[in-house]
Amino acid sequence: MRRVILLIIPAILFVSCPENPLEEFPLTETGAGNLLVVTSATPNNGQELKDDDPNTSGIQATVTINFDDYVDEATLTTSNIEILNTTTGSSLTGFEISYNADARNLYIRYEDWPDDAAYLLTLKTAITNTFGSPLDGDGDNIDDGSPYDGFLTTFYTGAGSGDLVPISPPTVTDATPPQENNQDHLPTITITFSTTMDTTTLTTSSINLLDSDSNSISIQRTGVSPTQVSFQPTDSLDNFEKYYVVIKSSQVKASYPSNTPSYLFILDSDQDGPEADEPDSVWYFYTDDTTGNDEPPHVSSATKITGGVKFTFDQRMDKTSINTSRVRVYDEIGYIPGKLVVYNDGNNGFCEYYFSRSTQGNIDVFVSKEVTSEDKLKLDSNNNGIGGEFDDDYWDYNI
Amino acid sequence: MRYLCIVLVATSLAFGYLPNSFRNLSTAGIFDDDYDLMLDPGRIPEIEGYRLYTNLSNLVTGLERPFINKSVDYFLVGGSGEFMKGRYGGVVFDNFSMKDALPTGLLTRQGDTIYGDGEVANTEWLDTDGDGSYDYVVNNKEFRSAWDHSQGLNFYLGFAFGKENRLGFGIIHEDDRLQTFDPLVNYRIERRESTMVDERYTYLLGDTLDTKDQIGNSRNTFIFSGWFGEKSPFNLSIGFGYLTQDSLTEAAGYYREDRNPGGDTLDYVKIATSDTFNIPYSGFEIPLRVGIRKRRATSESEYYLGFRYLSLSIGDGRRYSVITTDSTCRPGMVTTFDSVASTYTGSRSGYNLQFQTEHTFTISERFSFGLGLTISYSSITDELFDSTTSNGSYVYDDGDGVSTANDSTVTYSEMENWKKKITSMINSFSIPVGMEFKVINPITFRLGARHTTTYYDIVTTENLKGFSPKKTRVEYGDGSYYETIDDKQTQSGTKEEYTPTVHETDYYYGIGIVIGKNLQIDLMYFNNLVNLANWRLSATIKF
Repeated sequence: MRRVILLIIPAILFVSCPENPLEEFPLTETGAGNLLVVTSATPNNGQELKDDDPNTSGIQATVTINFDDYVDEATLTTSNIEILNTTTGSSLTGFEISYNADARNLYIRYEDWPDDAAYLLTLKTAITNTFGSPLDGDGDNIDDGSPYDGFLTTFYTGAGSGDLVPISPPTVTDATPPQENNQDHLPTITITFSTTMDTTTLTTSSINLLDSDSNSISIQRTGVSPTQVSFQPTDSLDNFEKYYVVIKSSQVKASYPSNTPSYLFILDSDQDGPEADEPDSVWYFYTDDTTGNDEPPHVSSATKITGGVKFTFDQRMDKTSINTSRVRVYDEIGYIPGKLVVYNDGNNGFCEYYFSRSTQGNIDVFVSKEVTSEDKLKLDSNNNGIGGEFDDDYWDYNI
Repeated sequence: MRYLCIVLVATSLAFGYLPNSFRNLSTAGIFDDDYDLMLDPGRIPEIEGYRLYTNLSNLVTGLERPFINKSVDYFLVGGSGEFMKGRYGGVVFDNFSMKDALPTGLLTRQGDTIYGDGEVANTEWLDTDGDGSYDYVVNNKEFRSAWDHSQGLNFYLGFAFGKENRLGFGIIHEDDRLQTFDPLVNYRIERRESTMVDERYTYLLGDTLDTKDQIGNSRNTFIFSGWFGEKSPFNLSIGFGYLTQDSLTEAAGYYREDRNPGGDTLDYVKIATSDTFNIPYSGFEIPLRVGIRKRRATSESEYYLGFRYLSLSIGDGRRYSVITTDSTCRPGMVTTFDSVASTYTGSRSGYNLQFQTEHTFTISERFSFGLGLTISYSSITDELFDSTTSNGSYVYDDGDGVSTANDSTVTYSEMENWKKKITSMINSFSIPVGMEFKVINPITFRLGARHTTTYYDIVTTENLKGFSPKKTRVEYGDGSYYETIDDKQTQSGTKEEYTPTVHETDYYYGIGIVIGKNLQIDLMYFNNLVNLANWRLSATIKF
């Protein structure tokens, strides 16, 4: 009987249970899907890992990794963490890991770190946050996959600093000639790298000069050092022509010590960290026009006039290139329909835009990069001497 | 009060025609008339002779005021009688269809309101450069639609046979629909600006919104009623009804703005909207009643025990609204998409249990008196589950032909699940008293009063059963992306207990006038004897 009563009472309580407006409700998702990023590592990259228990023989120490998000603890396994002794080339085993979820800290503890050694710690991309997003080791907000987005950091014990390995790929820090006009007809193409390079990869097969029709121009290497290489065309370049310099990233490699991850050797042309298909690095320049007609036009001013706006160019303009789709004026309502009067006077071109309706508020003006001078050069608004580039449209606000 | 309305909607046995006669109404429900007998199919044989009901009977709502020509504009016809030997029938039919033109909010040139479909055109001539001649024209057109289209078709059809033991069968059909065209959401606006200098349009605007808003209720109920015995007849009544309640709103809009019409430079905004909101209920009711009447020489007693079960559930309840935008920028282009999708499920169910007794006494030839008691208990549960998901995107291309970090696609999504539950328990008892006395022989004066005490216990809870926070993802043209979630602060639950006790006493009065053998006139609301505006009259033809 007592058993029956014990069964009935909870049943009655369940049936008669009123709606509780203060009851907890479940989250169906945990949050955003940003990639997991390591915010700090202790010791810092390239620093010494110090013994925290001097009373015990050997080196007892902990490496601490802090994340920007909560980590899925199931992915924090020793198989997703690799510690390579870059002095010996062997992997360290037997370390212990623990995780403080509140602090978002990963602790990697080993009770007997070999002395006088350098280490490369790799956290693999299989480590995810609680949303399931993988590690973004290079912090570029792009999921580059494994092994490219693994997090790398180095440290050493004792006198092992000499065996530290780099943790980032080489990049181009400077290049000439710049992406501008008026370059020499026999320019020196110089490329400076962020680190020592494998000079055998800095050749004319990996670094090319192309004309505007993508034809290869013969160049020769005129100088090379661990961090710099120079080339020069074998023949003088044409007058006022566009030329492209192409660095084939996959063929240009750094001179890194052994035990450095192989994917770090490849040139990082877009400087967003390593990735599977590194794009080639390309820039262009224009050779000087010896006839003096190589300067693209610019908008000198845009000023209000009665019933419209007057644009002044610093060169005589091709009037046929200027129309109402290439010169526009806006106010608070939007586009102001209008009529154009285009003329040249002296060394300048002029365009007067007369409104077809009354205006309200501030006036903004636009001139397309497609308008051309009488020399058929397109508008140059970024002032690099080259007109018609994607960012050469002219905008002026609240004139 | 809103709870009372909910309960009444859920439990009402309201007809599409007046459920009580004027005699019954003016004696607080104590004394029945032939019309009351007809609505119980088992009692149709008790009606002596034939009855004819017309619009003069005022049996649609009882509120028609014939002396000032105020009516609800139904057509009504009905009657009862023996159509074959031992076969009796009763019928009430009413029908209504009205399309009302309402104020559109637009005015004529004289300032008068335009009703129904209205259109106004305005032209503005401007001298923008002040040179003394017009150089700019602005044309505005505005169209708005304002209508109420209501329809109703109701009938009661009863059939009975027998005399001492009487069996009756009745069909109740009700169908009411209302379609509304609100001028605020049914319009077409156009604006055209043009310059007279070179005769071209400089600005065009079009804004159109069409909204259909309709509600409909229908009911089809079958009732079997049997009365057995002559002196102390016993009643058993059972029925089954199918009910639907539907509300539907459909809206579609299109807004466009062209700031350079006909030109070779694009500068425009296009916004398309659509919204559908539909919560249909359907279900059934089962009314049951047992009763007994005791007839004596100068008195009569009635005892009834009634039970009614009601169950309604939501069919394909949903709301889906979408807004898409296509717009030029300075520079670039933007397209957006925002949608909100809700699904609704739930039910309304419950029962009503009622005990009713009435006792009438014939004190003299001129005076009758009666009193009664009704005890009622109702329990209704109304549950509504609302699952709402929002999604959207915002795509921006700066138009430079290169995919860079300046180009972006923003997407977002969020979801909430809510449950609303209303549990209603209503207990009431009422004590009606009524009397009739003949002032002079064809005129009978009626009085009635009813005291009702009602105890409400209505609990309303709303709970957030789960949610997915608003998550926004921004993908840039260079391949990178970033996601954020909004902080969530919401009222996740509320509870209200509404437990008032209401005491009401209502008074009724009326006059019945028998004019010869073939006409009976009943009057109510004649408190102002010199002003007939409020008088309600019901005329029944007998033969």
